[in-house]
Amino acid sequence: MSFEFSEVKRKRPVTLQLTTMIDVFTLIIIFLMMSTVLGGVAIVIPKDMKTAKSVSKEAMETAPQVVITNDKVLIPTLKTEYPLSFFFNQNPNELAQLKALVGNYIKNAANESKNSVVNINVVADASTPYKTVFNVVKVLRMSGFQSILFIAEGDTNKGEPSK
Amino acid sequence: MFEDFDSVSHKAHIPEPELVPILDALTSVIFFLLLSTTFIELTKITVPPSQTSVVTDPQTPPPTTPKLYIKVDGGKNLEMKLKWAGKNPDQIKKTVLRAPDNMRSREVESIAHDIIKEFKGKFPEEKSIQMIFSDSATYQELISVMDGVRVEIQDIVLLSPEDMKVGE
Repeated sequence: MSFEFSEVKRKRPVTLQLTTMIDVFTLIIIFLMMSTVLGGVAIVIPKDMKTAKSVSKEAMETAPQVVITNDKVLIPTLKTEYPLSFFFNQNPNELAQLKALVGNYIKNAANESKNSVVNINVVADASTPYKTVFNVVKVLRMSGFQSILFIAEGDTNKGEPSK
Repeated sequence: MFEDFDSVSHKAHIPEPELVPILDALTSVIFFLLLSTTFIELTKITVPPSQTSVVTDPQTPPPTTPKLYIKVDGGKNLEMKLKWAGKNPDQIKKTVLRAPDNMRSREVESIAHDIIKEFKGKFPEEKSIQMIFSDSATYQELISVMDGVRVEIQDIVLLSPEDMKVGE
């Protein structure tokens, strides 16, 4: 009789506590969702632009981009564009307008990403004169961007030997 | 017989703590603490005790302030000249042919690297360099020279093309 009783005890099925498991998994999902930082780094290069090549293996950083074309400078993040002449002879009113735009952007970026350093990616054609690049960079720094990152295409080839 | 059985069953019933809800609650607390934690990095700066310093050399050597001038010479050549001030001011000058069609030139990179390497051999403590390009130097040349320089010195300051005249 006692033997039978113990056998019954052994056969007691183990039940899975589904409610608790779901509870815990929900918490994990919420934790992962809250701690995820989605930082997409995308650079849109105009079709007719020939990018500069570099051997540098540094990864790109998430930052707004500035595209220097032959006649204008595009800043898609700020939804604005300026003629190149603006960067050579700065109009005080337009400069104040750009500063206000950049100021707003920096304020929003600081709230979103808690990133205190405000970077900007500069994209230019390989043939863009240094004077143009320098003047654009100078105005961008005056507007509030702190660090300028020059974008070039990674090139693993040994490069063109001079002739 | 019945009485006996009943008494045994009463004694065997030991109250067990409900572990599942406790674990559940503890997990919630852990997640709450994890999410509400802010990590702040604190650095410690140890200031040495103040003391009277004895200056043996009355004159501090002036800073070297290296400047790399990249001049487009006659449209075909790129002249690179590194000038520095300080106690023993000097300069290193090299010329390289420009790559055709704004292509990347490995010679521009290697010449820039050689100049900076030679300079670093003399001044290993130097960590910053100023670079001045001609008006007509291109973005590709800026990137190529930076590639060569950044192997030795990472901190680069770009100066206005107008400063080229001062260097000359």
